[in-house]
Amino acid sequence: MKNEFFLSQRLGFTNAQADKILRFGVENFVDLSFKAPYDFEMPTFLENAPKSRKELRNLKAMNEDQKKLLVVNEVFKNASLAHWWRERMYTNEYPLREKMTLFWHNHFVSGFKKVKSSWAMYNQNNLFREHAFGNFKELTQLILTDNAMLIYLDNVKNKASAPNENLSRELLELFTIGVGNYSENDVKEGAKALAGLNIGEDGGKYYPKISDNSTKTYLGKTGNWKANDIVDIIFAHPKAAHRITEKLLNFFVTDTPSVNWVNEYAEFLKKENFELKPFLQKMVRDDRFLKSQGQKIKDPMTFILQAHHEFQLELPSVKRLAPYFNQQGMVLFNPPNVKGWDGGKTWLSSQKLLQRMAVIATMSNGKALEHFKFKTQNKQDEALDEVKTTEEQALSKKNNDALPIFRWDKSAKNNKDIIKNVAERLLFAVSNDMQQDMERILKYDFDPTQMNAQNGVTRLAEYAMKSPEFQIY
Amino acid sequence: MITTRRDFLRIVGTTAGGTLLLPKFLTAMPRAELAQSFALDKNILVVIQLNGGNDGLNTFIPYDTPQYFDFRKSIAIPKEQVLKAAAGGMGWHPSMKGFADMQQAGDLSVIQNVGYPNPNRSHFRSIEIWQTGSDSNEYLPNGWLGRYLDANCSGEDALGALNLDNIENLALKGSNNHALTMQDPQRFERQLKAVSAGLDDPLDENPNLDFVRKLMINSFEGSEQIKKALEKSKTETPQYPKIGLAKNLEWISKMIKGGLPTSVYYASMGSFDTHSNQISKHKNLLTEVSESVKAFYDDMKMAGLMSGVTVMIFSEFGRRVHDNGSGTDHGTAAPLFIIGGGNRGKIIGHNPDLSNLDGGDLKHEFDFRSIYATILKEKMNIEPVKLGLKQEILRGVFF
Repeated sequence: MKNEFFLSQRLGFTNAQADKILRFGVENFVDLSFKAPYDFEMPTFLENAPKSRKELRNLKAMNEDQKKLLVVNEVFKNASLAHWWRERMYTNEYPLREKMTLFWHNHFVSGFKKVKSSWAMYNQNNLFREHAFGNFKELTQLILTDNAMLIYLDNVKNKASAPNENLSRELLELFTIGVGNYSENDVKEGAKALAGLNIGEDGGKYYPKISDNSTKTYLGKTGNWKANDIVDIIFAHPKAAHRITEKLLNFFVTDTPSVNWVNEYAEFLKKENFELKPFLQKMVRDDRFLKSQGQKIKDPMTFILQAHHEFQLELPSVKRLAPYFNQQGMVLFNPPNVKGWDGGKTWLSSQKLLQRMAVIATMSNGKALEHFKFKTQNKQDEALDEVKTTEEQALSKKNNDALPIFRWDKSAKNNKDIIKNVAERLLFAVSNDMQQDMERILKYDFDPTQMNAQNGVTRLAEYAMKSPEFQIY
Repeated sequence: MITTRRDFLRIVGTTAGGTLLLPKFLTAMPRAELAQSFALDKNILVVIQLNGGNDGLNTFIPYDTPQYFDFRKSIAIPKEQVLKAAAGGMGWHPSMKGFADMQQAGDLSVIQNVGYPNPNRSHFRSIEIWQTGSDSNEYLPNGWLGRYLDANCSGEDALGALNLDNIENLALKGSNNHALTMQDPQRFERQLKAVSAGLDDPLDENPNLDFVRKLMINSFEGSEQIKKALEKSKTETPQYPKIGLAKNLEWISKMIKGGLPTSVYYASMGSFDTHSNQISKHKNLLTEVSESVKAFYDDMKMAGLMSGVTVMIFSEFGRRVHDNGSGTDHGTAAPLFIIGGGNRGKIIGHNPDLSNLDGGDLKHEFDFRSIYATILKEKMNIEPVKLGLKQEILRGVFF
């Protein structure tokens, strides 16, 4: 793969940014990504979603039927939200912000199934978007007052009289310093500091009646600590940057970063006061980044967005894509658990691989996924099938007629040029065997100006995109 | 002109000298005690595609036609080396003993001068025409067998056809996916064994690639069915030569005997693009074809399955009648071979007419699509016109 394509995929999802990266250079591209404007406009389907604490409270007073209807509606809104986000990832000129938003979503995990409020999930998503390139420490402070997080990790039940340790534990174990760097007592003391921090109209706030104002000893420091204090204490810990660094390197560079590499970058992040921008700049300047082709298994998002981009398609309706992500195990706003997606080899199984092959086969056959019937597997899919809202109809109508047309350089002179071009865009490695296979598909006397040259090149693309190599980047 | 097996016997009795073959078809019959009891619940088609344009004139040779030697001074097969097959002055390349044997046994038909109007001499385009069954100026997205599979397979049937190749075959491409391409059956079998023996050899240095490759081997849709078929087909089979096409045919034999629900098997071999150094190249290629197909034939005969299995062997075009000094350039019509499936063992069509060429190339006598149509109608039980094949079927190929 040529560097610009590789970088475009790693710093985004598809090859769409390759031109910019080539033109501006990757450092400038990253700078422009930092500066690129983005909007906070609320998607219309959230207009009638329950938003206020009061509205959420009202749920308890609803009868069974009302509740059911609300749940179904919220499930649909959440699926639409996921779709709305995917569209941003797919169409933004500088998708690095969305990529970082995805990173944070998988770091500070909350899931809709438990939060049950599309509005809260949306707000959390915007928090990640706003602070995508911000400060890790600041974002850690902010996530502790995020409504969705407070619900997801049960801090809404954490009271001085009846402590709940869930948020306190994950703050240490998963969000920051990790196992081995704190004691069970720190978890207990942290829970006390977080007690009474509950959801509010504009995010979480302390409710004095249920807060715990006793003196706590947290990671060796003693005082009447609150959320911001314990974050300050955590970020003074020598290991504060290691876990996040390893995850960032995992996310952008390699499924298996070396310990030395992690240590080096963690020290750097600490030195930069946990600012993400210098970290990302350092990363893209690093030779090891460019040399990391083939070190990551492609996640379901990158796979499907890239496939759509190569076949010049808009994304299909939420109804079509949601089952794909269900089966691929990457449902936005519903990571499997608080640890998030493990990534790496867990992205693939025989079943998942087969489904990916089927996607490529469908597009190569000239059909958009709009016409592809994924087997429905769970209740959420079935619920989606039943709901016929206007939003849904509008979404599914959008591109029913668009047909996949594989993108290739029509100025290519012969088969080898085309093969080279396809390989440079799509494959991190091309073995001799593959080269030979591809030259059998597009033989030496292939005429790129022939009437159905597109069909021939599409068969080449199908071969390339069904290869094991395409699952890796 | 149609030459039957009876004619052939007559020739055998009257022709002397050379390397003429003795009629061995009686001894080639399966010995009853060796015959395994395998049954087919449907007819099976095995397509063998000779990539690159096989030189038909040097495969099935008009050794009695003087122009053959005039036009091909550097590559003509000397008359005395030709395995003379039948009345009418046609015979086999000396490496094609297996084909001569099958013909003697009455199980091989030759259809001469097969091609299509306005022939295209590009490999890419001509194989596309053959695979889609299109006119020369028509562009179809799907293959002729892909259309058959679309019509014949139910929704999730992934094993309608099995293609033994590294690349998918346009002939099998339909609107739905009913064809499975197995990149390397030997490796698949080794892997299955290795997995059950708890071995884990890396398939690539890159651990990610190794991981995905292994997943792919295990994620063949139908891999369970294939595993079962392998178990079921375990039996003594005739020895197959250790060459590419033979390995694939041996695998196909196992799948057929194992009762896979597959009705179409496809294997390809290359490369027949003999622009230079043809004599030795072509000899090796034809040896592989002949020995491989003969081994498969012996195997099917022994299993008592040959009458239910039709083998069709073709190439995207024949080669120019005049040689180019050491090889041949792209041509047009060429013979097509049918083995088994209850064919009548005939030579159908006129001998290649070297005195009536079209720009140095043979004129076609039969449209390849009429042979497709014949096989589809008489063996696969489907009206060819439903698959867009309007050509008349060819009478007299099958009993």
